[in-house]
Amino acid sequence: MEKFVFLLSLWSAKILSLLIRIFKLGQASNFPGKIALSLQKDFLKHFILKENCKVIVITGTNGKSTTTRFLSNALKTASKKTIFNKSGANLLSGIATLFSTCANVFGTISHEYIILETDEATLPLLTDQIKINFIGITNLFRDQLDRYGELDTTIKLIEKGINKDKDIVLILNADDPRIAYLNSPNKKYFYGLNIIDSHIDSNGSNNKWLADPEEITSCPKCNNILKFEKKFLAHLGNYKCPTCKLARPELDFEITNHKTDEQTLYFDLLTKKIKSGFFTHMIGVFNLYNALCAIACIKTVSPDTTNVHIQRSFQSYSTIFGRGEKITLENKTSWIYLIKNPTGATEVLKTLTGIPNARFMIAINDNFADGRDVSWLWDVRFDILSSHKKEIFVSGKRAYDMALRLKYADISQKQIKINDNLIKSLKDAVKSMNEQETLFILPTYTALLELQKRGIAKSEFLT
Amino acid sequence: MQNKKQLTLELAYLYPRLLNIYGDRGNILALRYRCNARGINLNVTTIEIGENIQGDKFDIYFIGGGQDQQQQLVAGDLLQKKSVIISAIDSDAVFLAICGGYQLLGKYYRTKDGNELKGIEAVDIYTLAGEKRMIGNVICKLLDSGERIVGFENHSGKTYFGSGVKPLAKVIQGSGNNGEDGYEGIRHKNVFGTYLHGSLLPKNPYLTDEIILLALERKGLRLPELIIDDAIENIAHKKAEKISY
Ligand SMILES: [Zn+2]
Repeated sequence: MEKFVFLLSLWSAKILSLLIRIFKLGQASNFPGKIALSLQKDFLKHFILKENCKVIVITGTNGKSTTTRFLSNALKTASKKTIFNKSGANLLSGIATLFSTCANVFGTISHEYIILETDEATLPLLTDQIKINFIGITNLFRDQLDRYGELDTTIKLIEKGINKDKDIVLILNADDPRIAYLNSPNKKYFYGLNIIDSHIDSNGSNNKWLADPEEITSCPKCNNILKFEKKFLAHLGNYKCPTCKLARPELDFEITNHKTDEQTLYFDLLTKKIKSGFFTHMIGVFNLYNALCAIACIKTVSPDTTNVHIQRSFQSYSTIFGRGEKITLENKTSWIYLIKNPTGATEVLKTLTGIPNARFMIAINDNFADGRDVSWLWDVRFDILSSHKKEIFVSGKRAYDMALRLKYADISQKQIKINDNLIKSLKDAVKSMNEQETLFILPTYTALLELQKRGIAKSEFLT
Repeated sequence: MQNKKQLTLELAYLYPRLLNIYGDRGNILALRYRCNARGINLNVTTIEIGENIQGDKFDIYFIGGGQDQQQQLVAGDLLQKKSVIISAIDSDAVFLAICGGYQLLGKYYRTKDGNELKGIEAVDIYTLAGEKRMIGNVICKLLDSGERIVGFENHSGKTYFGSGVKPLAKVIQGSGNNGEDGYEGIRHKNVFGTYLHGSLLPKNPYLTDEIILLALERKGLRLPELIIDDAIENIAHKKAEKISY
C-alpha cells in the first residue's frame, strides 16, 4: 500500500513537472514536490538510492548556492554522476521535486552524488527522511530573524538535524565560532582562512557603533566575549576565549594567501601539508569562503577528484561573476546581486563600489520569503555609498524605507530616485546611464523573482 | 557660523557590540541627523561590557535588543552600572530602551523554567517568557500626544506593569507589551521603553524630536526652530500604517 502511494505521488510529481515545463507555468522547481509531499508525508523516504550513493547537504546562511554549484561542477568535471537542487528550491518541496525528476518511474535514483542545498530550518525534516552522509556548513548570519527567531534557534535546528545520525561527517567553517563548536559527537573536518587581511579597527574609534554588522562574539563554551586576533569577514576569523582558552579548531583545509584583481580571485590552499594554487572568476572574501568550503567538501567526499578537476571546474564557471548574474538592457550592462541580510549586502556594496562607473538600483520587498521585517536595512553599511555622485534608484514594496535608509547614510535627497514600481524604476535607471556605466541591481529575493518573471533575470541565479 | 559655542548633546550608546540586532543603530542615526539639521552636535560614546559610565556626562542614553545569550551577558554588566543609570534617570536624562534593553530596565525576566534574569529595577515592570513569538508590524498611538507611531516587533517576552507606571502608547495593530492589555511600551520620567524596532526613530520623526527636545529642556535650552524636509519620512510612515501583517 505504502509503495503504491509512493508511486502515485512520484508519478503525479513527474507529470506535473512535465506539464509545467510544456506550458511554461513557472514554479517548476518546487510545486511538483510540494504536491507529492502532500500526498505522502514521508515521500522522500521511499526513493531507492544506489548502494554507494553519497548524499551531501550544504547549509548555512550565505553562500549555500555558490558552494553547491562549485561542488557539483567539480564532481561532474571528474565524471561523477551528480545531481543538485536549484537555488531557491532548498526546502523539502524543492528536494522532493529534484528526486522526482531524477528518479526513474520506479523511484530509483542511479546517481553517485546527490548535493542538496538545504535551508537551515529544513535540515531536521530532511534527516528524518533520507540518509545523509556529509553536511557542509558555510556560516551563520542574521537572516530573516522574524522567521526563525534568533541565531540561537537556528543553530539548535541544525544540531537537531545532525544529531539524528552519528555517522554524518561534518565539514565546518572553523572561523565561525558557533558552527565550529556546534554540539555534536560526529566526525568533524574544519576549514578556515589564514590570510593577512583583517577588518578589525577598520573604522575610526569614534564611530565604533557604525562598524560592519557582526553576529556572535561570545564564547560557545563559557559565554564570555571572544577575542579575535583577525576577522576576515564580519565575525568570521581567528579567535580565542580569554577566560576558558577555547580557540579556533586546528584547520584541515586552509587558504594561506590570496590575491584579487577586478574579476579573478587567486588563492593557495593548504591541506595535509601540501599547498596548491587555484583561481576562479569571482571576487570578494565571501567567494573565497565559498570556494574553500566547496574544496573541503570535494576532498572529503570524493578523494579521487584531483586539483586539476577542481581548477578546471572553477574555470568553466566563468559566466558567473561573484554571486551575480549579468544581463543586457538596451545595450547597457547590468549585474544582478541578490541582497538578503546585513553582512551579505555590506560585502556586496564593498566589492561593487570599487568598480569604476558603477551605478546602483536597490529593490526592497517585505514579502514572507524576504522577511517581513525591513529593520535589517539599518544594519547594512549603506554609508559606503555616501561618496557616490550619481542618482541611486530605489524600488520595491518598501522603496520608501530604503530611500530613508539612504537619506540617513548622508546621501542627498535629490540623488535618491524613488519608484515603487520595479519595472518603471529599472527603465528610469537604464535611461539615466551612459554606455560606459554598469548598473548594479540589488534586489531582495521576491524582487528578484519579479525580475525573473518579467524575463529580465534568467531562471537560475545564485544566492 | 557664528563664534558662539556649538550646542552639544552627549549620547551614551550602551552595548552596541552585543545588542545590535534589528537595525537599532538607525535610531542613533536619526537622532544625529535631526540634531545636525538644527546645528546641534550629537556626540556618541559607546559603552561596552566592563566600561564605566560617567553618569553626569550624558543627556541621552540608548540601549537596544539582542539575542538571548548576549542579553544575559549584558544583564550582568548592567547590574554593575545600576546606581549610575538610576541616578541619571532621576536627574531627567532621556532614556530610549528597545526590546531586550527595555526588558532589562525592569525588575526581571522570568524564563519558562522559572529562572530569573535580574533587571536594574529602574522602572516598575517585569517580563515573563511567553509561549509564542509576537512578530509583525505595529501601529500605535502615543498616550500623551495622540501621535501615531509605527514599528516592527519581534519578542516572546510578555511585559507587565507594576503600580504607578504608564504605558507609552495604545496599540492599534500588533501585540505590544504582552498581547493582552492593548498597550505598548512604557513612559516614566524621561524614559521611553518600547518593543518597536524598524528602526523606530527614522520613520517616527515626531518621537525623535521629542527626545531631542527633552534632552535640551533638561539643560535649560530650547529646540532651535527649523523646518526639516520630512517628505520621505512622512511617506514611509504613512505606508507603514497601511501594512496589515
Ligand atoms: Zn570561553
